[in-house]
Amino acid sequence: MAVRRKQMKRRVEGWKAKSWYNVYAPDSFDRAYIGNTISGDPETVRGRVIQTTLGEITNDYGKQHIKMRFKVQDVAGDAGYTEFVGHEITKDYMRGLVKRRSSRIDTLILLTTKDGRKVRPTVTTLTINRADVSQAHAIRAAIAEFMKKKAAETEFETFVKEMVIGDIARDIFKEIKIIYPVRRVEIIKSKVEEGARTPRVAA
Amino acid sequence: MAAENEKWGIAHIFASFNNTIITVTDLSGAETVTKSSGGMVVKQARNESSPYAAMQMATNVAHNARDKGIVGVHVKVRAPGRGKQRSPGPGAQAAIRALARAGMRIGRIEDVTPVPHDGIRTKGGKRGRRV
Repeated sequence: MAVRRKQMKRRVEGWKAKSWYNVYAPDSFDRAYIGNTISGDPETVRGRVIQTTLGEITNDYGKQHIKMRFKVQDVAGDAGYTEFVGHEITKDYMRGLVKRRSSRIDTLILLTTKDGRKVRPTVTTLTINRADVSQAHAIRAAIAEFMKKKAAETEFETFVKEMVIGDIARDIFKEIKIIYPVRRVEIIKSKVEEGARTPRVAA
Repeated sequence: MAAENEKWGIAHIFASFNNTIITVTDLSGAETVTKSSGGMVVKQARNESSPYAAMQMATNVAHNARDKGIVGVHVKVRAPGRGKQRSPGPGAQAAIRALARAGMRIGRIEDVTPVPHDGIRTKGGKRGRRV
């Protein structure tokens, strides 16, 4: 009994000993406040991933379905500064887009941006009617080519922003609607590859 | 959205047909604030997944979380998924309701059931489960 009470007390103290850290989005998202996390040691805050929605950090309620993942890179005082590590569209939103008797064409490409960072986005195309395999192949080829070109001439930060907000998806739509009638183009997911963490010198 | 001095957390609700587990963490999911499972509130194993148990758990969890300064939670509901059923069990609904009733603010509610892109064969065999 006495032992248990002691343990209980220590646990509360453990929680009290920890302190809160405010986490902020990177500069490209205006250093918006994302949320807070608790930790006993600033060192453990680094590397944590916080998920939020794009709607929340930009105050745009039409963008609540885009989940953003930010990883804490630097800790200064009680503030944590993050870096974008990926995004994803919510499952229910995606379910609403996919329909019968039309094709869903996914394209996965590994891209290298102008400043040498590697991003792997998934571009999903939804057609109006069911597309042939040859048409699907043509669409994939066109998307891959367009994305590679786009990435090669854009800096990482701007690329991420344009990708998430939907500018790139809109441009792709224009590119591929001549191949086959397209209903929707979305970049449903992206991942920043771990290997390119340290930015190389831009050529 | 939330002011900086208001602390939010994430309530992970795992609802299967045999149990319900609620874990409240901070926004990063790295630090657990409080947790509870069906066996902590009911005595019979078959009641662990019941909506009643989920309600009790949610009130306890909400109470503990508020003591630690959490005012609201984003909810992540999860069913067993993978090869098993993909819709959350009976406790999920009740848990979210009870969290709200206990004064927790509810933010986003999201289904995070792991769904395989193809996956394994469901158990039960070719002719189904024969009772």
